Amino acid sequence: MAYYQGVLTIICVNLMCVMGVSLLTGFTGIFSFGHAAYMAIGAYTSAIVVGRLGMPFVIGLIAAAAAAALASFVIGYPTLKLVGDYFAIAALGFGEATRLILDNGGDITGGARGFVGVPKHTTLSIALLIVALGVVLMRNILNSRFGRSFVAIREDRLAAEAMGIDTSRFRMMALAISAAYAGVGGSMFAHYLTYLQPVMFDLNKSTEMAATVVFGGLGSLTGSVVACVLLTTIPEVFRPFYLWRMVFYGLALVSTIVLRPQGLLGTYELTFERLKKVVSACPLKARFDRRGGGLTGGPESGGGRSCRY
Amino acid sequence: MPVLELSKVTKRFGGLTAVSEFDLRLEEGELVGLIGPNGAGKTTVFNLITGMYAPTSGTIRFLGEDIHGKKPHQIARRGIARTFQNLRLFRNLTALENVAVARQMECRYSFVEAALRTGRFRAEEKRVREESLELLHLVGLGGKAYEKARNLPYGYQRKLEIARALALRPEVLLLDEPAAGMNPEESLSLMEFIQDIQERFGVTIFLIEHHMEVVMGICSRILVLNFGCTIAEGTPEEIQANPEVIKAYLGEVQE
Repeated sequence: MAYYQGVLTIICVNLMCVMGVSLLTGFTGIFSFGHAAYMAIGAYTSAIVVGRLGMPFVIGLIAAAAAAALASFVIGYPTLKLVGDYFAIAALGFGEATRLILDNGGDITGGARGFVGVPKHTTLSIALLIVALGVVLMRNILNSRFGRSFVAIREDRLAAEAMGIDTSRFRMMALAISAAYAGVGGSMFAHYLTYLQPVMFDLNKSTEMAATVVFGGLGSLTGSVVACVLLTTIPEVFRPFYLWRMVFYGLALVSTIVLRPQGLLGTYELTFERLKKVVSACPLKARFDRRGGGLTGGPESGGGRSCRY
Repeated sequence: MPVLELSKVTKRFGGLTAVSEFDLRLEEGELVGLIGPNGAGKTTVFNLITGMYAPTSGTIRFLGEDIHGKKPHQIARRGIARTFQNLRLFRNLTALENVAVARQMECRYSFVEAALRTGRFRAEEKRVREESLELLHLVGLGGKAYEKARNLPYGYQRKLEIARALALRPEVLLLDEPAAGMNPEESLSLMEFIQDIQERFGVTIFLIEHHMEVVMGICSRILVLNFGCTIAEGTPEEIQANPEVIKAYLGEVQE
């Protein structure tokens, strides 16, 4: 039982991080291979604030989000001017640098030996609560003018600029929100494991987050969530075949890229309106109110909506 | 006071002078054409007006205010909207969303209000949605509101880009070769569409066109650009009769 709870909690941790990357990569079109760094910053900040300073867990979560967002400003301000692959590489460098700083942090971070004695606060119910809140907030942001601006930037940055969108500011905003999500994920992680080591937040972790978002479908929050649940579960399911489990993980990724380049769900989103439609399609409830969705809803809209719900 | 005034605007890229001492005065409600052969610097003029390039020298005044050094998004918000020569729609967004992205510039809800979906957020979103739909209906794209931009026929995509620019409620609308890739018949119907829009929205239009014939019918005034220099300016009749223009388009007559 504790094992399943543990897996579910880790899924929640990963979900927070992946949702952040989804906003940045899937919706704003900025690739980052350094997001483990924001997770690490959140984890260590929370560990210090709660573990050393004795603050409550809630303060730890907020501090983690704030610290990660702050770090994203420091790194994003000079590097977000870079476009395409160059930002991804800069982010990768930032990720590795952060890990090495934590490695050499002496007594503050515990160095390579790790940070021990983080108080245990992340129970499954708390983790689920945070994730639920995270999903709702993210969905709301994506369905607002902010979300539309992010997607417009992904689609065509120059045209977005010509339509009055301050693309530099919105790119920074996307990075900051995404870092804050990863920071919260890190904090949850720290208070679940009660123990931190810089090596947990290496390039593999960053790549895993980016891969999950691509796997689920760029521009689909639902896709990111589904992919995260699958990709966290697959290695656990294949745990008995210890040496083979990363092979299955890789196989799942490669087959998606070959068979479904748009990702598992493409840009499809599961929405309340769609759920309602399924319900109203049932014979008993045939007269259920069939209202169209939001901006992209309506009778003519087929599948694969882009940023609404 | 002219709506838009460019005086002695020059743009150099290294040793190449793309636009040289360009002058322009757009009065309110005018429909002015900018024509010229390939590579004459027409699009560069647009990029200078919209802030995508900074001029090497000269001044650009919009409603009496110098807009030098302003970023493209600031200029767009001030009231100069544009379309692009090679369509730059948000291809994976629906027609409605394309327009909404521009229309939402007047939204007043904050980030927190969006995250919490407050009453004001809902009201503002509803307004954006309704105004965007209305605009789509006005340009004849009402039935295509929920189609993805990339799935629309080419002619509709051109119209959608114009609708998106109109959604900014601009004072000045810059159209960069709106009839590019269209046959003469389609071009003609598009020109009627543009004329119609100008009357209905009372917007000042400055448009680039590669084909002389299409602008002749609708523009009150035409500027001809060649190698970055204005070689002629006047009514369509004057332009058609101008030997410099004929030379630029057809080459010099061998004596």
